[in-house]
Amino acid sequence: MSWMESLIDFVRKYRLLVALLVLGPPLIYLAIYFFAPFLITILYSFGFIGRRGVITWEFTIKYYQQALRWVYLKVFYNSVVLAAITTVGSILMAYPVAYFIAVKAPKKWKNLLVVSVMVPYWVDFLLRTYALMNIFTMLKMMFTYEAVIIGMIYDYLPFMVLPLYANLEKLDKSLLEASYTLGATPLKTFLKVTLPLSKPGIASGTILVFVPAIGEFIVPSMLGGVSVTTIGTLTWDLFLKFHNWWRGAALSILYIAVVLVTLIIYMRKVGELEI
Amino acid sequence: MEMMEKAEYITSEVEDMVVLRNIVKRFGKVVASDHVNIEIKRNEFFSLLGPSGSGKTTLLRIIAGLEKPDEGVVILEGKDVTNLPPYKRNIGMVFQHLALFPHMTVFENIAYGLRLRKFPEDEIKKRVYDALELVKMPPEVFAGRKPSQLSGGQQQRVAIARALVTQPAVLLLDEPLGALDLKIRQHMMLELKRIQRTVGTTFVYVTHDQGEALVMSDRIAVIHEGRVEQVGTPYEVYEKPRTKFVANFIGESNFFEGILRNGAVETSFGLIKVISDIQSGKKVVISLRPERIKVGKAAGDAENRFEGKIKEIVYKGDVLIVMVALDDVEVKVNVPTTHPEARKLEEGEIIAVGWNAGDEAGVFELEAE
Amino acid sequence: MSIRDKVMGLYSAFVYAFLYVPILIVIVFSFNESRTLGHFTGFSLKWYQVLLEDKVVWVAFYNSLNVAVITTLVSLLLGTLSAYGMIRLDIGGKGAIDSLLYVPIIIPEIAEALSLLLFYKFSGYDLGWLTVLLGHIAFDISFVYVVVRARLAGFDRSLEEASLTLGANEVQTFLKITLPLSMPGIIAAALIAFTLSFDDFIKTAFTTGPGFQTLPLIIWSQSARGGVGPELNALTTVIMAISMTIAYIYARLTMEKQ
Repeated sequence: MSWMESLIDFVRKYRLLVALLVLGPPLIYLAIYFFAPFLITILYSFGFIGRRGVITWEFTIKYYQQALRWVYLKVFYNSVVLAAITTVGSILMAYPVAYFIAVKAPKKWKNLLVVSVMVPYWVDFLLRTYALMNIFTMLKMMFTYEAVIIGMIYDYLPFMVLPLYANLEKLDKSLLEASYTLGATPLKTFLKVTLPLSKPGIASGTILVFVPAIGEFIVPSMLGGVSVTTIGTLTWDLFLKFHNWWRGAALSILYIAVVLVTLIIYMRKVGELEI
Repeated sequence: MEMMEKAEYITSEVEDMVVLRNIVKRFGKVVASDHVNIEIKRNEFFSLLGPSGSGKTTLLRIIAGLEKPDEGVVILEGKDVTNLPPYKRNIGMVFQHLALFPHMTVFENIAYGLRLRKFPEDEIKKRVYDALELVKMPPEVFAGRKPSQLSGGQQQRVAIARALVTQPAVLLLDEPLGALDLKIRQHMMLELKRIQRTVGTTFVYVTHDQGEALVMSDRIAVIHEGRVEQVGTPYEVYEKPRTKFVANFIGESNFFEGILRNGAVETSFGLIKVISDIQSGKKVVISLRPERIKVGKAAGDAENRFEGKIKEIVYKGDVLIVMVALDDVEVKVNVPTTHPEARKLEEGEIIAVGWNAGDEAGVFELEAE
Repeated sequence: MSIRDKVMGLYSAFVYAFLYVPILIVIVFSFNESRTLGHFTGFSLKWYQVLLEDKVVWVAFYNSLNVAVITTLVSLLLGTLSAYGMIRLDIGGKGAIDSLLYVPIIIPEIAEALSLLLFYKFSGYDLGWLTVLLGHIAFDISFVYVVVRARLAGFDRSLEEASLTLGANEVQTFLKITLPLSMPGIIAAALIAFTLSFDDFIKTAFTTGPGFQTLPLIIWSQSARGGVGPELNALTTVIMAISMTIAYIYARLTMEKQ
């Protein structure tokens, strides 16, 4: 046991060193392979880095000016519209389902119903979008805006159901009964009790759907083809087709800025994000 | 004087199982223990009683070694253990939420401490079975079960068996009955007392429930805002509370304020005779238990006798709770339902109430405000 | 059940069908004898036969598995370390560290992917196996952290205290109580790390180089311009079967805790 005691002594005496040994490796890893790349992206977007990765020290905002040109702003606008449609659509589809699982479904079914939503949640969009391609090909709907919208809702639906369910599950059912005994109809009860109390769930779901949906690439690209352009497809093209990394970097930084602002507003208003 | 105090400590430490000397513990700005001194004797059932947030659990955790005091000394069996971790102190502990290891069976839970002490396997089995017998859990039935397959009361018994099986010098219990239903709680109170008598181990019991403390304890320390208000037998803390807080916290009391002059207190509704050695002219408060007040004819020859109107009568089965207005003060009186006049009492009636000077639970000086 | 409840149940059934029918169709047509979409002419395993004989698919499968397994092991180690550190260490600045560990989950994948690409280009990495792997790990550490941390946070601290009072020192307590009780969380985290890496597309697409292909990349390149076909259905069925099985085990594990 003596090695254990010396270990315990060591931990007690060198608390900071131990913290460094435990938290150091993961944080250093993230610093190198997550945060440093963003720094590099910022440098690219201001033109600090030229061709072949040489540092030029020539600061310029021209890539941002390019990224804010009317064509690109329109793409931004289209992406936000598409994300908004996706969000509203998935709320409309997800809310009754989440409510059904949380409040109405028989106990023994509950777990299965939740698990059935969690499974697609963890499967990559590529696979699930490919699955949709079969149907759209049969229906001759490929490369239409409708197909993109249905695909977006299809892919993002689990991201809306789960936070809504988590919220409604916590809802005290006796509040509904109290409302009934006070003379409210089920509809009134829903509008006056359930809906207001589930706002944090709706907010969480909205963040989880809206923010990534703005930058969605897979769905518009696979189902929309060249007919639908979003920030996601634009970024992809700038990087992997045209190799215009500087403009792409500026576009990406703008997108991240939008994401962060949205998140900060959300955190201020609602608080914790449930994932 | 100093010498004498020292000498006393040395002799008392021999028979004292746990000694807390001048314990101070702060959490940030909150003082959880404020110069606490307690001596707990061998084989004693000792309770730390106080409202939630009074610092009683902190004291227990300091004895266990789960918290380190900022100042002061912890002595276990005459040995200074202040700087020893829990696993080097000879203690057992029953936690508020029991803390049974969910991934182990009842047997493994109880054997845990024995295994760490490297007992041979047949000895472990014998001791675990004995411990289960002690807490009245037939080993053949329960040894193989997981904690989740037990009722609340059964989990309680396993937690006690686990803590006792290593034969600790002291068993520390942190409100272990809190989560149980009333009936099971009452039953477990008697069981705990029986187990304590059987094994003879010193029990230190933390509770906010005065009923539990009064029923089980040999002695009680009443804790309030990190300080010890009074240490005494259940009889002493109930009948002879030393502070107003104790009188108020343990049992129920009527409180009358007034100025003490010549063995009587001038209150708003009249003079009350008291027995007290507080200086004349001081502002005091009298504590009087509702069951000590006589009513009707029985109040006739009492030293303190008043008349007042009955404001309210509440039937509680064994007693009537009668609220009597003496001028602007309402007095609570417990009248046994067997009292000859009990059935005749009616709200709105005028009634006599009375008690003798010695019946008061205490007279306490009020601090100047 | 009232009529209203029945309508809601029916609606929910419709939504579940919406989620699962497309997946079922892929599976069904992967067993279709003919190429024609929409007509099931007979049961056949021939498309799986084609897959089995396709060397490119085998290499990609090996690559996907290789990256996913190493990613899982490394991110499990680093993520679990950070979760334990954050829960148990008594140090300042925890809030800030916690936010840092959360960022990779919040930032959209495409933004992260392109920044990795720029970073690799700038630092002179050769794109391929290593660059894909390093990117997957960076992303998965955070997921492992969140899952293990949630498990540890829901853990009754008095279990460890009980162990200390029963005579176990801190190391023994960790080995006999803390580790076994956090195992379900660690396993769940491993499963999630594996699926996220195994079927990842965007990050892989940005950070891979010539000659290094994973299964999702094959699906992408073959389905481009709307090319659905039975071979691809068979391949998708295989990847989905793996991902969904693992996701299912993960979901069950996390549900049990409640």
